[in-house]
Amino acid sequence: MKIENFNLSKQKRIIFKDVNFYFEDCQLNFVLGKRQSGKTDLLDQIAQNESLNNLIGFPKTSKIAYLAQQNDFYVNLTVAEILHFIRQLDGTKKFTPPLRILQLERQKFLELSMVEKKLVIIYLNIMVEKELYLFDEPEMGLDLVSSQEVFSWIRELVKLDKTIIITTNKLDNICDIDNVNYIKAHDEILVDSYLKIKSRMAF
Amino acid sequence: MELRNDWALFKIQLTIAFKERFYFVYTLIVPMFMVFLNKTLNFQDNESIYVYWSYIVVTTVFNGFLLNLIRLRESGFLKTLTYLSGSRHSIVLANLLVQLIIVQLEIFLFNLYVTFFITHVSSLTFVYGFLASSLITVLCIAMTSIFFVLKIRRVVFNYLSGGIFTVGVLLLGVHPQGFNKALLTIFSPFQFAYGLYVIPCSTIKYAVFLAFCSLLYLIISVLVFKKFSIGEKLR
Repeated sequence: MKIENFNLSKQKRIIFKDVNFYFEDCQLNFVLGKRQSGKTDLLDQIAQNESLNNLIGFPKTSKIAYLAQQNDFYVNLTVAEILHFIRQLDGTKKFTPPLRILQLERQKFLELSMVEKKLVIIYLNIMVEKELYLFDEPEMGLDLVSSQEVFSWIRELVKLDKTIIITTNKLDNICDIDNVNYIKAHDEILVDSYLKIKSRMAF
Repeated sequence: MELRNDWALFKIQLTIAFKERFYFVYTLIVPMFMVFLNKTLNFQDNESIYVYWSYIVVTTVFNGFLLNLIRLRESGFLKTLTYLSGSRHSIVLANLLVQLIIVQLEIFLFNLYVTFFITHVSSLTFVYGFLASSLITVLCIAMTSIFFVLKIRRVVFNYLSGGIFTVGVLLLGVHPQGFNKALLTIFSPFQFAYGLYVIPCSTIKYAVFLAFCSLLYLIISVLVFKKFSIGEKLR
């Protein structure tokens, strides 16, 4: 999957100018960049790729799961009821939820801590059967242990031959072999394995 | 495939609506209390009951349909849910159907309450309430969909709807004629809903005017929901 000669501007501000992105199929891909560098705008464009010509090889919108950055669900439902709703949607994976989620099943979603809410919402996005998974800064608001757990769930998706694109401004959860698109500037994107990007990021 | 998702969305929204019992205080208990206070007044004609029906429809549209969508969008979950379920229109449609069911249930319970404690409500009025309320709820949603153009936050929406409720309810007691009546019908959802309920006893001129307003609001709502933003970054 790739994006060629990509230009994007919003309210007269240039976000990307003639840049290319490249994402490996059935792998974990990161979009690394500082805050306000256009990472969310990029995911929005990928999620709506059907109307754009320079986004090549992306699945159609109905085959994409997209976890928004800011997420809350003000409903008086238990976690089990929310999971049951997701299972009723067309195309969900049949696997047992991880222990961390099972422990929360009987609790009301509104009564969960911010970290627990985030874990449940991330897990909902993993449950659905899609071709491409977009995660907008999933580690935001999570402690180190929870963040590592979430990335272990996400890495399980790769084993199921799913393509994942994650935006982040932290380096903690990126492995050396992961494909990274580093937004160095609005007109310069470095694309390579994280090991190689690390050496080039220094300059 | 889409039908399965639509059905799942409908069921979850219905469950959510019935679990949020507090808002029935505004939409059902308050009009019941109001009609109880007014029972000593002349309550023989159907037009009296239409005032309460309009209140039930408009408050349900505000507290149910509009507030639900604004809250979902502001929390960022609308974006996530749209991609999980495959369509933002399914979410809007499921929400609309749930509110239709709630309005029907509220109108039915209100009519039963009036029959038992205030005055007899004919079976014809029950049927009219059932048929007219569905259409009027859809038209009220179409009228109030203009709120989505403003991209307002929940807090602002709460203040705004509080103001509209107060002014709207006060003006329901006023029965202006001519230009003032037309102006009130255009801007007050309560007056618009009431106007639609009393169509059978209205002049042809006013009925045509209401039909024109309804058509206009429907066109606006189609345009609004076509361009409806699922993003959480609002003003």
